Amino acid sequence: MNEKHSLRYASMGLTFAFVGFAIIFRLFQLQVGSPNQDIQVYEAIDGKEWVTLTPARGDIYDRHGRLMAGSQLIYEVAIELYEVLNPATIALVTSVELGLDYHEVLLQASQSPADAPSTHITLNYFVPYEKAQELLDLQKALDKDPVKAGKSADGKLHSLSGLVVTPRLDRSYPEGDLASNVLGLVDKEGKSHNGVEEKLQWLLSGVEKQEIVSTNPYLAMDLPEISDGASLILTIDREIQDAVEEILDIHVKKTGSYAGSIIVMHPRTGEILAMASVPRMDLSGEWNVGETYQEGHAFNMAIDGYEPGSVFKIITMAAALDSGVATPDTPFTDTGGLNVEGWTIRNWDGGAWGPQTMTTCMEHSLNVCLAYISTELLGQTRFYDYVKAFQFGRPTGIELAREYPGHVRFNNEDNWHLIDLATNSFGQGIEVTPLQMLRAVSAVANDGKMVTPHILKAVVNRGHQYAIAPEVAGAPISAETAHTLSEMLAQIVESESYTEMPDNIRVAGKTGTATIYNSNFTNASFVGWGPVDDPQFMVYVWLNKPTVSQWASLMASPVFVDVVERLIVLMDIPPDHVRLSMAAE
Amino acid sequence: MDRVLDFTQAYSQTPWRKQVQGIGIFLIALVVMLMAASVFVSVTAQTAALGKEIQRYRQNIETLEFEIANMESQLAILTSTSVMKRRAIELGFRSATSEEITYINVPGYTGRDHIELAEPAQPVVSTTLVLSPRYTQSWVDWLSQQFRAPLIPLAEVEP
Repeated sequence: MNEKHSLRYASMGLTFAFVGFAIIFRLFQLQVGSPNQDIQVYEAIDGKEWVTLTPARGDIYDRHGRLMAGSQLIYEVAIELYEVLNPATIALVTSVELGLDYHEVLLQASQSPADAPSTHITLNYFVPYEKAQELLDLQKALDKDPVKAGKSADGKLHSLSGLVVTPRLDRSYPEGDLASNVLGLVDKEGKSHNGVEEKLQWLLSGVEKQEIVSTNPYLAMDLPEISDGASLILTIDREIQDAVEEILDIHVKKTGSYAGSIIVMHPRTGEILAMASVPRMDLSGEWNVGETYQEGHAFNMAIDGYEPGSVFKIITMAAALDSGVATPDTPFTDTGGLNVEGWTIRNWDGGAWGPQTMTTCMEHSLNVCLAYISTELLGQTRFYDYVKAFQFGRPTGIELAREYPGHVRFNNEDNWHLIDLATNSFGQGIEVTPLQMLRAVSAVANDGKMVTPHILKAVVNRGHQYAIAPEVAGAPISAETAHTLSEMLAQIVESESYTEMPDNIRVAGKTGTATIYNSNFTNASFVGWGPVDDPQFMVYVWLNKPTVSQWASLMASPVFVDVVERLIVLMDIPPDHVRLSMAAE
Repeated sequence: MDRVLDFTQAYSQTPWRKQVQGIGIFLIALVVMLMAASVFVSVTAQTAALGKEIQRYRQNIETLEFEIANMESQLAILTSTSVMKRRAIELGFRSATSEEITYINVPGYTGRDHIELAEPAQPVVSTTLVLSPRYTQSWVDWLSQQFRAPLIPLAEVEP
C-alpha cells in the first residue's frame, strides 16, 4: 500500500468515524437531553401534537328535566397566516358575510407569518351556524374552480385558503331571562359569573386536559378520553318560577319599586322552587350588565343584604315564647314609647296602643312591645343566643355565588350598644338576606327544625345521578313553640284588613316595613307559608323602595296573595276543606 | 492420483450449471423478498387507510355531539316557557284558577315522578386493543417501536 492510498483510507476512516460519532451524539442527546426538546423533535418527526382537550360544559335542568342552560353550535372564523394565498379575497368575503372592516381584515391577512405576533388571527368568535355554512360553501366553490371566480385587483386568483371556520360549543340559555339570577352566566371568554354557573363551575366545566395526540393513522387507537362536565338538576320548577317572576314584574312596576325579590321554598326540605329577582338579565341574546343593573342592584336580590324590619319580629317572639318569658296571652301596656339609653323607641304610627297581648303586639306590629321583650324580658345574652341559633350573620351555603353573609352586631363586639338590642328586635340595625330570613322562619313552619335552603337537586355525572339530600340546619326552637307561633301568625293574617288573603287555604305570615337609613324610602317585606297545618310552601317577598306607599301591608302583602293563588294551582294543593276531607276518607 | 481427478471431474457440476444454480437461488430469494415486501406494503396501506377512517369517524362523532347539543338547545327554545305560553294563548287557553279545579282522590298516585336524567347503564366497551401488541405487531413494527420509544414515557411529560 503506497502513501497516496493510505491517505485516502485515513480520510475515509475519519469521515465514517465523524458520521458515526455524530449519530451516537444525537442519539445520546435524544435519550438524555431535556424532555421538552425531545418531545418537540418527536412531534416533528412522528406526527404528534399537543392538543388541549376541552370537555363539553354540563347542562342545567329544572326539577322536571327541562333544559335551562345548554350548549349551542357556533363557529370561530380566523385567519391562518401560513395558508393565506389571497388576502384580498378573505377581506372581501368577511366584510360582506360578517360585516367586518375590509381594510382592517386586509391588513391582518397581509401580514407576514414571520413578523406577525400570532399566525392565528381570530376575526369573529361567535359566527352563527347559517353564516358559517355560507362561508364554507364559498370556500368549497373557490377550491373547486378557482379560475371561474376570476382574479382580485392585484392579479391573484381568488382564494379563501387561510380562512379557517372552526365549530365549537357556546353556552345557550333557552329560557331567556327566566331564572337568570339563579343560573348566572358564562361570558364570551368562557368565564362564569354569578349564580350556579359560577358557584358550581368546578362541576360544570369538567377538567381540561392537555395531551399528545397522534396524527399518525397507525396509532389511531390511542385516543385520550376526557369526561365532560357534570349536568345539574335544580330544585327550581320552571312553571312556578315563571309565574313568580311575572307576579314580581307586575308588582315592582305597580308599586314603583327600585328592585325586588320573591323566594318560594318547600319548608320541609329546603328546596327552592322559585327565586325571582328584579332586575334580571335576558341571557338569550346580547346582554349588557351595565345597562341592566344600576347602583344598589344585586345580580340576585334574594341573596343580597338589607334591613328586614318587622318580619324579624317573628324571631324575637320565637325567642320569647321558646325561653318561656312570654306566652301568646302575656299582657303588655303600650305607652307609645320606650326609652333605651336616651333614645326613644316608637311604633310605626307613633301612637300608644294601650293594653295588648303578645298576639296583638304581633298583629299590630308594635315596635315598643318587641323592644320591651328584647330589653326587659329576654335580655341581651338570651336574645343574641337565639339570633345565633337562627344562624343570622352566616351565609346559608346555597349553591349560588356571591351570597351575602349578612351582618349582625353582637353584644360582645366593641361597637355594640343597648339600643342595638332594642332596634334589632324589630329588624332594624341588622342586615340579613331574604334567604336567611326564610331559613330562620322555616323553623316556625317546620316544627322547630330549620332547613338548609338549597337549589341543587341532583348531579348527573358519568352516567350516574346523585341526589342531594335535604339538611336540617338546626333546631333553634321547640316544636311546641313553633306551633304556638305559627297559630299566632295565622291569626294575624286572618285579621289582616288591608289585603284580602286566600280564603280556601289557611296561611300564616308577617309583614315587615323597614325604613332605609338616611332616606325617605322603605323596604317592604312579607314572609308567609301554608297550609298552616301541613306547610307545602314558604314565600318571602321583598320590595325595595316602593314609591306608591311605604307600607308592606299595602305593597308586599298583595304580592304574597298573588303568589299563593298561583302556587295552589301549580303545586296541586287542594283547598283546605277538600284536602282535609280527602285525608279523612 | 489421476484416477481421483478423473472421478472428481466426472461427478462435479459443470461451470455453467453452477452459474444457473446461483442465479436461480438469487432469483428465488428476490421473489421471496418481493412477496414479503408486497405483503408488508399491502398490510401497511390497509392499516393506514383504516386508521384514517377511524380518525374521520372520530371527527364525525365530535361533529355529531356538537349538533346534538345544538339541537337540544333548539328544542328547548321551541318548548321554552315563553313560547309555550304564547302558543297556549294563541290557541285560546288561559291559566286555571283554584276555584275551577276539581280534585279527586286517586289511590296510589303520588304526584309527578322523580326525574332521572342519567343514561341507562351501558355495557363497558374498551376503546383500547384487547390483545397485547406483542401478538399483533410485526417484527418491523417492533423494531421501529424500539428505535422510536423515548426514555421518558410521553404520558408522564408535563406540557
